Amino acid sequence: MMTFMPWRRRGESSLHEGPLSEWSRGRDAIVVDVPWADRLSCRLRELGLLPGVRLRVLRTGSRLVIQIGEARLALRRVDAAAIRVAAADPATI
Amino acid sequence: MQLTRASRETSAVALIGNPNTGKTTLFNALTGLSQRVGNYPGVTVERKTGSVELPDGAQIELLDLPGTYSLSATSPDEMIAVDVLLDEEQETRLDAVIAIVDAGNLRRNLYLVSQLLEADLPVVIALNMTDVATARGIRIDAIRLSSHLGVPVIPMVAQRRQGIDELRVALADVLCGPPQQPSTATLPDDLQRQVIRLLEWAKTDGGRPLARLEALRALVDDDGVIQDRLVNHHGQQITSKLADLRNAVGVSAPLSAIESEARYAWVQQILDGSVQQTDELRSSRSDKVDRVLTHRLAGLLIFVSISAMLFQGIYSWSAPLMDVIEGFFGALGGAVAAMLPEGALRSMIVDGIIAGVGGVLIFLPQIALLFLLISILEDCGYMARAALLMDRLLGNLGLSGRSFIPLLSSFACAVPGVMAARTISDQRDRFVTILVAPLMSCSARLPVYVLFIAAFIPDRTVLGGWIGLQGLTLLAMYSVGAVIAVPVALLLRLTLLRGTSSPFLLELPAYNWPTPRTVFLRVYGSCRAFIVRAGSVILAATIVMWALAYYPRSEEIRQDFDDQRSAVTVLPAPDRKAAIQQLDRAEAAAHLEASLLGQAGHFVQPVFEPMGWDWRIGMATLASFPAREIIISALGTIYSLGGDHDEDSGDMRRGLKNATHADGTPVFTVPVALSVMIFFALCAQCMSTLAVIQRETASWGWAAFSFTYMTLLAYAGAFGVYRLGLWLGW
Repeated sequence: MMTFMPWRRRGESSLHEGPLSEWSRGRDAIVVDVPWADRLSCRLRELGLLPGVRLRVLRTGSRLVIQIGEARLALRRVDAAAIRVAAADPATI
Repeated sequence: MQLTRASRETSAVALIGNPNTGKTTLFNALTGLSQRVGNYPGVTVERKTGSVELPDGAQIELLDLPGTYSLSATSPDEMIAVDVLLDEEQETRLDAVIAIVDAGNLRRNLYLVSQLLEADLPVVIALNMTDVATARGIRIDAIRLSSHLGVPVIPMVAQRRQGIDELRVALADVLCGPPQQPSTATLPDDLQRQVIRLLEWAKTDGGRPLARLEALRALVDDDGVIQDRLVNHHGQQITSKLADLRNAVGVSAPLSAIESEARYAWVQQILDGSVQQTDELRSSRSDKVDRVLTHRLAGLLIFVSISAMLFQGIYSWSAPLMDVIEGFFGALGGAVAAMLPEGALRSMIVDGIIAGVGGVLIFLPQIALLFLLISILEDCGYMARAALLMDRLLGNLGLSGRSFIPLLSSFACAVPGVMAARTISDQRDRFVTILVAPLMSCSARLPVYVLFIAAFIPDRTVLGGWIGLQGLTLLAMYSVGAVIAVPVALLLRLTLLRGTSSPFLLELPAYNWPTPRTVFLRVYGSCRAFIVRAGSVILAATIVMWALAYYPRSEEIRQDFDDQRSAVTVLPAPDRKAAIQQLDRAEAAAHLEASLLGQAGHFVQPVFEPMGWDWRIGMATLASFPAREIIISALGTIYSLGGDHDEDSGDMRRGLKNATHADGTPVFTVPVALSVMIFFALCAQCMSTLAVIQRETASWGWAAFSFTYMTLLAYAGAFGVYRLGLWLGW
């Protein structure tokens, strides 16, 4: 159920779960699903972007920067749309 | 014991690891000046080797492999690592592997290690950057880690040369010690079974046995590089065999996903009890810096400012050193001229070699400065941010940010640039990058720009004194190729190399202070290559050029001028001196006109006429087909022989300014100078680049294509700018 929350800025996601491309900056997330089909997601898995891993979005826009562990990875927003993440700590939402 | 030592004298060891783990620093620390980088300066694209002395006095050959995250190769660059491990090239049979891992990011780094441990080679792990990891609160028990892995783990800080000696000791132990019993990741039984079936099939029906590593990669990485190669060896039948075996594994998920999950599960087991770290994501100082440097607007502005400073700096900071070298060659020419009797030998040494090769060597300070600044930017981690900012622009061209580093390296030299394109996994992306890379303004063009700018562009400031007109012209010359590359890339994407752009994924390493040693070695390597080139190709071309411009020596012309000289002896002393000087110049010009080069030049003159060039520029350009810098030495020789060169100061700029047509009008005006610069900015006059394009694309067709399209562009550009200049009345 959607709640009216005027104190949230527009575009800021209030979702518990959603595509990585829509996740807001600085908010920690847990990877829910990484697609398997293409070469990019294969490489992302090798770099440790697996379901259950914690990440943080450091830059938003047409090119995202995400942090996994100590690594910072840059990828395109369109490619990030296929990765599903969920809020890391539901208590803070 | 004696035997092992003897057999170890030729041991080969490979250094492998993720990108940004300090691999180059470790390689430099181990090998020092003994390393050989082929002929090409640049990023780690060529197989670098160097010798390392072990504590027991044995020498080993260390091979530096390109940084890779995994052995599932997607690009030709990553394939090198696999090939070396598989001994595919048969050049170096490896005896051991040093795997360098970043202590601050062990989880991801151990992924590659888990694949390496299956390669049946002794492994030593260099646990690098332990200082950074400790500062971040990561505690690593190296002894326990080593016992979990079953291979030695050496903690170190390569940048401060800590742990290097321990690594040497461990390497010596591993090379003569008993076989290792490493821990390996447990891949699903069904997958293992199919790997064994493939190995058996290859031995019996396939005709060529496979290594286990090769079989696993062929099964897991469908449409990977390995499969393509197996098709070459075993024929198309292997494709259906692989498909059958993949189905027989009997899982719904792709095998690559199964593999990564199994390996990360193994990594977790290894880390349990040996490494203490929080799961919390920690912010670093680099993140704060990146808020500014990768900012949509501020980041771009900073990028543009850094580029502008780079070019202004190269131009102005190297001037004093250039004057010193210029003075040296001038004095040398004068001294040699005074020592030798007049004749062909003196002319060859003074007009040919000193004026020609010396004219090129003057630009050494600029080459050094360019490589110094580029390697500092690369070593501190800024280049990855620039690639991120540029991905948007390059994405519009159908390329990705991955193409940025090859293209940027091409500003130093297209040869390493074209080779750096190996890191691009998509074949069409890679080819487009290779084809436009030579348009980037390489360091060989720099001497051409600097010479003509210094001679013909007025030295005054513009934009409110912020930048000099000369520096601005240099920036414009550097930009023109990059700007032209945009429509060229788009056009290639729409025609010959059609396809969608490849995905973009790039790691942003933490910022760090550049390692002086790494920077120094790169500058040293590129300066050496430049001097070697000046002493070989350019020297040879200069001598040929000199000979063509000197012979045949017409006795008639000499006689004619001798008569005229004796005629002026009746004049009073001051007039006589000036008249004789003028006659000397006219004689030299007449000899040049009559030389083989002069005759050929007049024949091809109509081709160069539309660009505003006289035959001398045209011939110098033709002569510089092997390498662009030759135009400097060729012009130096031509104008020196033609009497326009001021022999006292050896100053070529003045020689160019003084050059006149037969009717007395100057050869070089601002439009002509710009036309020459534009031509050299866009042309493909570099044999090494064409050869490397041929090698990297495995086709002479692409090399010929590059040469043709760039020469046409250069001609059109030079023509356009000359006409525009005339029209604007410059």
